[in-house]
Amino acid sequence: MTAPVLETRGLTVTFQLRAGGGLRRRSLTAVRGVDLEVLPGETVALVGESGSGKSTTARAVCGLVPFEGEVLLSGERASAIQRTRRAGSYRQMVFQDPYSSLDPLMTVGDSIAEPLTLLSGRSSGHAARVRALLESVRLPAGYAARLPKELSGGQRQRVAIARALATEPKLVVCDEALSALDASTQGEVLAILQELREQRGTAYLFIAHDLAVVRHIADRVAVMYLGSVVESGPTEEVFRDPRHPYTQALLAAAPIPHPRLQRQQRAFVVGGDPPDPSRLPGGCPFHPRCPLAIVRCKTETPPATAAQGRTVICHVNKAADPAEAVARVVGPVETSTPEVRKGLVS
Amino acid sequence: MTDTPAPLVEVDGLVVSVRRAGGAVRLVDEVSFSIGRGESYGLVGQSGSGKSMTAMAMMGLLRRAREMRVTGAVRLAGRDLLGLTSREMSDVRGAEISMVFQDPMSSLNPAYTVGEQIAETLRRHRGMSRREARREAVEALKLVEIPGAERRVSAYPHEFSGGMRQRVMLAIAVACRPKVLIADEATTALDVTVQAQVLGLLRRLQEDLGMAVLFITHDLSVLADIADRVGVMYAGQLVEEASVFDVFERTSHPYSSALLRSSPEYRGLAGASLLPTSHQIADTGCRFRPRCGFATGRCEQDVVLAAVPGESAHTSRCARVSEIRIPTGMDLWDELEKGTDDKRSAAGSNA
Repeated sequence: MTAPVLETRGLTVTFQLRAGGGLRRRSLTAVRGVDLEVLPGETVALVGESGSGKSTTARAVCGLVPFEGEVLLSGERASAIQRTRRAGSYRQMVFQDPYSSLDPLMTVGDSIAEPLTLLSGRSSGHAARVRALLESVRLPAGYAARLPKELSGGQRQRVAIARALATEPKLVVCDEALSALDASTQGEVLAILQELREQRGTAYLFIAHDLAVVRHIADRVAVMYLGSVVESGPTEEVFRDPRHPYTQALLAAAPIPHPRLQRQQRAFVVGGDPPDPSRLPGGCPFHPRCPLAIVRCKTETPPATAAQGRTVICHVNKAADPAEAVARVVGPVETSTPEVRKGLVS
Repeated sequence: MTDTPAPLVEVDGLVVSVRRAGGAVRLVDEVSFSIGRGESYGLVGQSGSGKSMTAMAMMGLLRRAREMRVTGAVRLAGRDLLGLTSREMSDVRGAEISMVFQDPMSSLNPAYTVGEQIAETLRRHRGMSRREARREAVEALKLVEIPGAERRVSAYPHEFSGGMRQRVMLAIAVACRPKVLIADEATTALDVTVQAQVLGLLRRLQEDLGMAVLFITHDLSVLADIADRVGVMYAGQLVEEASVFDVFERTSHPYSSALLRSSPEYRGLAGASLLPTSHQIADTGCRFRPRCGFATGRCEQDVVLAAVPGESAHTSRCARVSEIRIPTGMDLWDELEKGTDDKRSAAGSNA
């Protein structure tokens, strides 16, 4: 079997925070011990609320933030590749905001050719390559001479994709790459990403908060909460039968385009804010907001249960049961205060 | 209409036009709808459809823009707000009709505590003393379910999370107990879990305070949750209006159908979404005609919003509504369910 295009083992990212006047230092662990695997041609999605560490994971994979643990790109240690010229043929990234990710003074063609020049030096063959790349993202070849300001958001994002693909990387990391686009543009960019996957066998690590998009595009999904993966598995199975209470809450919270069913599922909403990663609760990180938490959840880190390609990190680990889903709209709780936490989990 | 008493809010033939080099352009084109006390009305459409402009006109926020012209009527409990002077309107705004926006961080003043910002509106409209206003600000924070309201009233906006800030915005908006609340993409920037909480809170406030709510969004799934009635806007015009159930179950305008089809849930369905871009809008006749699969020569003539034959309280701006079969939201849902079943059985046979 070929090596995964991406493998992380115990990936951990810690930031140093300077509180107040800079006298007291605090550290914030945004990603803790994440194990991921992306096979050639596969799309793996990372989902979770803001602050869950999904974007930080993406940035670590691309060498944009320092990390501990191991990141392997096509079997090679990322640390040996990241600062070399050939890094671009292993992984590339597409960012959320196409307005700030393209240099406003460079023509579209120069932006797309830049990673090629980095990889193999200047060449007269690049112009033809740029035209082909523009066509593969359904833009006219003549756009190479344009500046980003002449393009719409959707067109810019397609340029960003063409640039990411220029070096034929085995892995493209899309960090909320569709989130800034409106519905019709989103659909088109999504179709292009899928087409490119079929044609070139590109693998994607796809970071998104829109679960409907993830369900459509991803082969496998990993759900992150407070820096850890709490559940992972084949997308359709995770969506059909979520085993972690957080996954269940996340799926139930997304409104659906069906007024009668939507009004029935309203009741199963998790309370509380997305938690503050600088204040990590003990035991299972989700226990302060979990409707199914038992005493053990407050003290013991839950074990990972793996079966048939699915992993769940939960003491309770059971199928969603509407009759038991007591997670009514309880209103917000401050997850950092122990009194409230006690009140919620009793 | 039925013989019920006059609705709380009546928007009647509202037109917002802007002077451009080539002549006046109508951003909002003869929009009429009404909202009853305690009712939630959802206005949905793509960006540029005129939904936010409608809200701004209702709030009297377009008065100072010289190049804008607002005509028609916006009646609140029978009084036409468009006829008020700027001074009179500023007495109404924040007291009888309030608005919350998408981005709470840029709507709140970072230099003042949230208590001061809630108190400001109470002192302005209710003539309260500082002390009274502060006490009332605490009550407003409790109303929007912010824990530790007594303590949090002295906190600054940056000390709150995104969801909490949106609750603070709601507290400011409802502090004077307005009759109408306009929520413009108020949950769009929030995480789904927080969005669900804020939607729940909005429903509760609406019931407890008997407010009429105008909910503006591009996301029909959110309206499936919160709206009683829905108006679909396209190119400045209302193209369909009905109860939320009818809009999804008996969809009666091809554009509404295309908008439903563009929901992220339906990405997996065969065939591309047909949502038009701005240059595909027709200037005359049916505006949706260039992208409509049902369009014929007849659609080149102007169409009015008219009752859908055989249905009550359901209007559509489609000339062919009674002779074509428009895919409804439930058709799409069924197709999705079927597709998922196929995927499941395929996955089952692989295993």
